[in-house]
Amino acid sequence: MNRLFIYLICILVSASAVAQVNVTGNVIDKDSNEPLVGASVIVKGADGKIKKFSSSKTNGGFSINMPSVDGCRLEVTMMSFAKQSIPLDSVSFPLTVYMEPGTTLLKEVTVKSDRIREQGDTITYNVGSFAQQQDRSIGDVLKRMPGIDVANNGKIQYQGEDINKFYIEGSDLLGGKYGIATNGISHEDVGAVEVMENHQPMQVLSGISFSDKAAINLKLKNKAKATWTFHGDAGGGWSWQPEGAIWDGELFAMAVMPGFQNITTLRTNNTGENLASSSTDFFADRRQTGLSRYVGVGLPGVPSLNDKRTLFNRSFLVSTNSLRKFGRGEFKANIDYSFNRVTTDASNITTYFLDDGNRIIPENRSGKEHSHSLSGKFIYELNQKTAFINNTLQTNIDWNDVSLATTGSLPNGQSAKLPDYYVGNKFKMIKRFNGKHLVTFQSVNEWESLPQTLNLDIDSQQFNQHISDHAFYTHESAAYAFNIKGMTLSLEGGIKGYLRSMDSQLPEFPEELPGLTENVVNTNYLTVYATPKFEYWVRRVNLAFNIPISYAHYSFDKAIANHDEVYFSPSLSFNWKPNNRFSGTLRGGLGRSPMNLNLIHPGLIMTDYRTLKSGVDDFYNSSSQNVSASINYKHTRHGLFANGMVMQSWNHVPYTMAQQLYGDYVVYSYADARNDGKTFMAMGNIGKTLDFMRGSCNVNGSFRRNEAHLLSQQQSVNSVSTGWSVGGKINGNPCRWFSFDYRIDYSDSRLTMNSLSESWLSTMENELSLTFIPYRKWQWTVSGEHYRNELTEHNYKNIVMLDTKLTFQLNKRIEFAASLTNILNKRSYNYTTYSQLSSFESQRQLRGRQLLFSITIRK
Amino acid sequence: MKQRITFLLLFLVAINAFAQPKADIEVSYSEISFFENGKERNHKYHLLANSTQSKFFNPRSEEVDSMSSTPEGLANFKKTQESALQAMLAQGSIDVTKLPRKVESVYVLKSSADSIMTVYDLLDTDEPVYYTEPYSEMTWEIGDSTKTILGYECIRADTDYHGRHWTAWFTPEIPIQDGPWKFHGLPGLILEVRGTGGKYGYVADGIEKSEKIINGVYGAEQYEKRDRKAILRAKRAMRDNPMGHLKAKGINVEISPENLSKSSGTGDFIETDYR
Repeated sequence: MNRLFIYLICILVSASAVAQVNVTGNVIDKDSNEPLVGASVIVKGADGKIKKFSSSKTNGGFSINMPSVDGCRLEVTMMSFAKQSIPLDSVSFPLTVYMEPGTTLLKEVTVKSDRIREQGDTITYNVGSFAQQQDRSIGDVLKRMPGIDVANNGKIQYQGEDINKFYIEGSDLLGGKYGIATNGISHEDVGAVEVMENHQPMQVLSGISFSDKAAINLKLKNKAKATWTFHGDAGGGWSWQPEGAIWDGELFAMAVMPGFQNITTLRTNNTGENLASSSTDFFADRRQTGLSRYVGVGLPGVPSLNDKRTLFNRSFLVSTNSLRKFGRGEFKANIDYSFNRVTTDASNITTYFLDDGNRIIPENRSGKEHSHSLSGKFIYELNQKTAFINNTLQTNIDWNDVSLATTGSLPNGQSAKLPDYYVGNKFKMIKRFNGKHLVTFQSVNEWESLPQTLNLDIDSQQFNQHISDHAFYTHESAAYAFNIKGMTLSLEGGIKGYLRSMDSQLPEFPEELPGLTENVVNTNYLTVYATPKFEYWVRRVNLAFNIPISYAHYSFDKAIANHDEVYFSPSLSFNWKPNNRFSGTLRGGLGRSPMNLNLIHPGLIMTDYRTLKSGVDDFYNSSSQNVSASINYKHTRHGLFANGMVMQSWNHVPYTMAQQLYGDYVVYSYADARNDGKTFMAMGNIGKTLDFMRGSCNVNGSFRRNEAHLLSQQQSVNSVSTGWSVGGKINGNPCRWFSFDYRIDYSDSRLTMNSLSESWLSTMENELSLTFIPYRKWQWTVSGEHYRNELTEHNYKNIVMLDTKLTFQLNKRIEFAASLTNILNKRSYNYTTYSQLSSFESQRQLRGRQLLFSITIRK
Repeated sequence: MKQRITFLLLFLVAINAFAQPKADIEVSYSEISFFENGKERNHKYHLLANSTQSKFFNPRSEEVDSMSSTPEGLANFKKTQESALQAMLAQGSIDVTKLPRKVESVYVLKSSADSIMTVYDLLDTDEPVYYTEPYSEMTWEIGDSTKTILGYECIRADTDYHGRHWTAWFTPEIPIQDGPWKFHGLPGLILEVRGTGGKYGYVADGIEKSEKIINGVYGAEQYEKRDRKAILRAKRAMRDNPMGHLKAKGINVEISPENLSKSSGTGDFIETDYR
């Protein structure tokens, strides 16, 4: 009994030693008598410090375990209620805390709103406070400004996003080519940089189409507004083939004055770099005059090899861009002139596949092409809140003189003069009605003349062909778009007119040729059209329906009967995205379209010394159907990306091309026939990141099958061409001083005619490039290419090309480079290609070993 | 007349049924975070909160999302992207990741009723993902130091959370147990929080009474549930191997190796417990 008593005491004592006070209770709104959720419940010690805390749960209840509540207070607070403070010494639990309405006094500090605004905010940076001793260009200083990043090519990002406009003194002189300004303008000439956030360049679209991009405007110092700035690079060296000196140079100059700006560049080289690509206008629309050259005397090219390996050139390009302001509008003029001299030597063996045995024509060609191109683009733009007006007048004058001397079974000399004259004017106006409605008007007028002269010298006989071909095209249109409950409906309608006349003469021509050699053709039309488009969204599905319909009247000036046609070409696309990893699209369309009007010419036209073409003598329409499916898959976490596409299309043309040989001449003509073609295509690509070495790999494959009917020598030919290819790529950057890039492609193709199959012929390409950065200022690259071509079955031609380049950056202004290309001095490249009715084997010259030293200077 | 009253009543009932939670306060925070090259990101977030729930978001990103959630808005958004694409074409290279998009992609929605927060984010540029997390993963140690922020006396508290040590300053004067990003669970609003080393953090720079509605995330059905650490691992891989990522997608971008070696990141994400 005693023992039991002691036990009991022990238990009681120990219980009180670990005694916990459970502070529990409920928070109640005194007015409504409802429990309050989310009130802050704090237990403070005698020193006023927070000992423990909690919050009231869904039923207004709270529970806090305390070792002891001696001298503690319970504080309950909540927004919009007065604070309750209860001493815990002499209360029993559970407590009921009644909250009385009160105001929680907030010391308010304005919350800065970060909303999208119509014209955004402008932040101005003073260049002087950011510039440092070693800075040269404005790009160097921009890099220091918060939020601005400048890439080596001058591309600017603000807050990680590309800017959408680059203005100099408020004018957009350079468009997307502003990189030359970032690297060209000295920071000492710039007073301030303005960053315009959320900049919508077309004011008429503001509020309707928002932009989360920024624009940058350079405010120049007064002293800089009247001077010119320069930078450039120069290189020289030696080439083993063509043997002689080589050069490569560039010069840049700029002037920015109030109301007037100019940037001029000059480039020249004979190292195989094609300057034409650097003056390409990415925004150029296709010319609608629809003319194309009949004469096809071009220099032999080399497919699948880089231009730099095969282009024997002397090139010169000058481009000058000016801008002048007039009131609220501005006027821009971009004028380019380029000169190109290209020479080529080539040997070919052409085999025509005929039922009575193959015909083989060997030839050697040696050619020279001089081309001059002068183009001017004159733009007037007015950019206002209620209207956007742009008028662009463009003129192009090209002179192409080609001369080609051929030896072989039909020795001859050809020379062609192929000038091209073009004038086009495009007017575009976007007008805004009632705030949200936009209507676009466009008017396009184009004129082009494409005279072609071909002089031919065969066996001391002279042939002389002249073609004159010119066209005028006009197109007026209006477009409007609106939305109703998840559906977008847009409507474009307009009228097109076209006038074209062509005549050709070949006064004396080889006797063995049949038919006329004179053409006088007029092809005119007037079209009225409407293009409604519907687009519909439902959760994960997007449906788009396009139904262009047009009526056209064709007149051919009595040569052929006039035609009235209605064209209707509906197409439907269906996109399904069940989740964020997968997306699939199905597309289908069918329709009828008019023939290429250039094909209408009853008489023969000589395209080169042994090829003549005669066109159709009636107007035809063709029809086609197509279906395609594509899928996309990605698993971002695993860095896996895949896509695939299959397509099947059918086309039906009521004529077919026929090929006939008259002696050494090939004559292509068209004959009435039911010509059905069928194409199947499939391709896929899988990519995976290789994070362990900061690289990636890709595998791709494709398959293509083409089936067509042709008429050759009055016999029907069913030709099937089949081809497939696979390729792989891998690259990586395993350490700071080393990176690599490797690519392999393999393809195989075959031609079958009337179930008679040629052999499969394959090509394989390997390319490897290694870059070493032993020291920050030095960079060394070694690269190699290997080509393996099957000329005939199991007969391969291999070629290896090796290049290397060493770069040394002395400082931000000066960089030296030395490059040695085609180290092994490979001078020729052979290959075989197949067209539908012939094979073509060629031997081409390559640019030999080439050593180039260059220096780049920036101001 | 009777009918009209019935209608009115029905209408009122309907309004009540769909009544959305109103905020008590709106707080703006500057995020302390840096690009790989050391430049500050200058991201801004707002917190709309009442006693039981909150939303942490960037108002501009929300506007982009609200636009993109309607066909009209999306059409406009696409138009903007197209013009950006053309601008890139003119510059000679296309980088899909640089197309117009929201910069601050994170949303944090907290609900103290069920002690769960939901974090919405964007993986890559176009893969919306979310995860949920119970409140219990964040526990605080309240200290003695005090400091005044925006005129409020704040008390120091510390926590070790998902790989970093954090010091927060909260004010019991504002009885809302919430804070920036995922921070919550102190007896008062958190006005400042900084990670050790100062590479990450949030500082309040504005505070106002607000009656704005705390709505959900626009296009919430587009977000797919993923594991938190898996999201972080994927982001890490993308940041360490940006070129590999683009090339795997089949996008070729020319960047000289000299520029590439610069981006070997030393920085890390706000949560570092994913490795």
